Amino acid sequence: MWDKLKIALVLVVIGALSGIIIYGVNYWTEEEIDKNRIATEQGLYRDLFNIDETEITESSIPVLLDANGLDEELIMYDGEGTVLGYIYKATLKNNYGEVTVLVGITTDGVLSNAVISRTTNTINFVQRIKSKYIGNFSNQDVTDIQIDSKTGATYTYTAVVDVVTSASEYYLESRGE
Amino acid sequence: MTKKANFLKGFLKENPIFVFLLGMCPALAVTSTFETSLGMGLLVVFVLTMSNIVIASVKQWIPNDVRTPAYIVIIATFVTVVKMLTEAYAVDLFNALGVFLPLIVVNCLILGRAEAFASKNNVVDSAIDGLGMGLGFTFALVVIGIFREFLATGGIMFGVYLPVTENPITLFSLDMIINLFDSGFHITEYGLKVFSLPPGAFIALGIILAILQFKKSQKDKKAAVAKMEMIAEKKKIALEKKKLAAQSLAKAGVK
Repeated sequence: MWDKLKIALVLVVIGALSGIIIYGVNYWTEEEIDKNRIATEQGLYRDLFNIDETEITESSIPVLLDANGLDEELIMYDGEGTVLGYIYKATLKNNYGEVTVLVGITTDGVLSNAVISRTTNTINFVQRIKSKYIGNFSNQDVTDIQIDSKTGATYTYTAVVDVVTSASEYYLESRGE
Repeated sequence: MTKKANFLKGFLKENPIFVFLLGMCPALAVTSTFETSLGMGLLVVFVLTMSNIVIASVKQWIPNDVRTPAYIVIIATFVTVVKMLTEAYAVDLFNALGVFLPLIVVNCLILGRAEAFASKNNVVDSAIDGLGMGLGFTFALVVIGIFREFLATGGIMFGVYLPVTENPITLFSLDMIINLFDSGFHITEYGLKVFSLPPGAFIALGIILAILQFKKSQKDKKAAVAKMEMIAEKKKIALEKKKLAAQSLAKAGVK
């Protein structure tokens, strides 16, 4: 009996100490983690509409979509509450892993930007797409998106093209009036 | 075993990946680039060293029946700590490692060292063992990472995931050499892309292990040849001595 109680006591003590350590580290890092998450998200939204860091912007709560392979839609406002445009988010799977792409479309039907927000694809390929090809989508009319056909047709680029096409189609169907 | 030998054994002689084939999950999953390999390695060093220290300190109070679950709780605590710290201060690395960061808790190497070393030795030796084995593990991951990234892209990048530089730096790229002769060339377009994919991890590890085994077998062969030569030499000396003794005896007989 005493042996079993001893085992239980040791486990309780180890569990309690673990809990205290994790609580302490969580308390210490919580703020920084939240700050990182918000900064990452807001930074990407600003990138989509080429907004400077100093300008005040606000985004709506994401609305879940189940259309055209898109996951979410957000509305982006400036500091005075005027709608700047719409953000479409989708995560696609390819042979290299996952690619999450955000596409920003302004209220006058211009695709302002597309960004890769998160990916498990090989970084060198992603960097190449980011630095050389993804910028080609900027400032194109959603009714006539020009896709660069000589990009090497990598999986990453294909995922970006798919999301851009889906976002444009969805915008024209639901917001294009 | 001296403290120096205890520290150094993890690098080559008892390397967790190249010799014992432990911790294969991260070795295959996060070694697509040099930097993710280095990041994962450093996190494992921290977890392994800290868990070895704690286990060596509290081993006398842990009943034998619940030894393994207790060790796992201790290891899981440090993995959780590392996960939170990485998410707070190295968010890009956190995103790149993904699920493989929490999976450090089931890394055979960490539980293996706890069972095989920390539970039987003092705190200082356990800390040295954890540090040496962790750095040996990091060394192996980095070798695989460099091998894979170089073959897949023709270069090595740094500063993408670790919070050490503001902008990524190309440590080395074949473009640097090729562009001396022909501008506008991008080696990434001609890289062996399979090495950045999961099958590439197996191929890369297989090639590295084969090279190491080849080196080892060459060394063993040399040692065997040297041993044979030494035996032959000794035989020769013994025969000569025998011959001389026989001659001396013959001379003595004549007299």
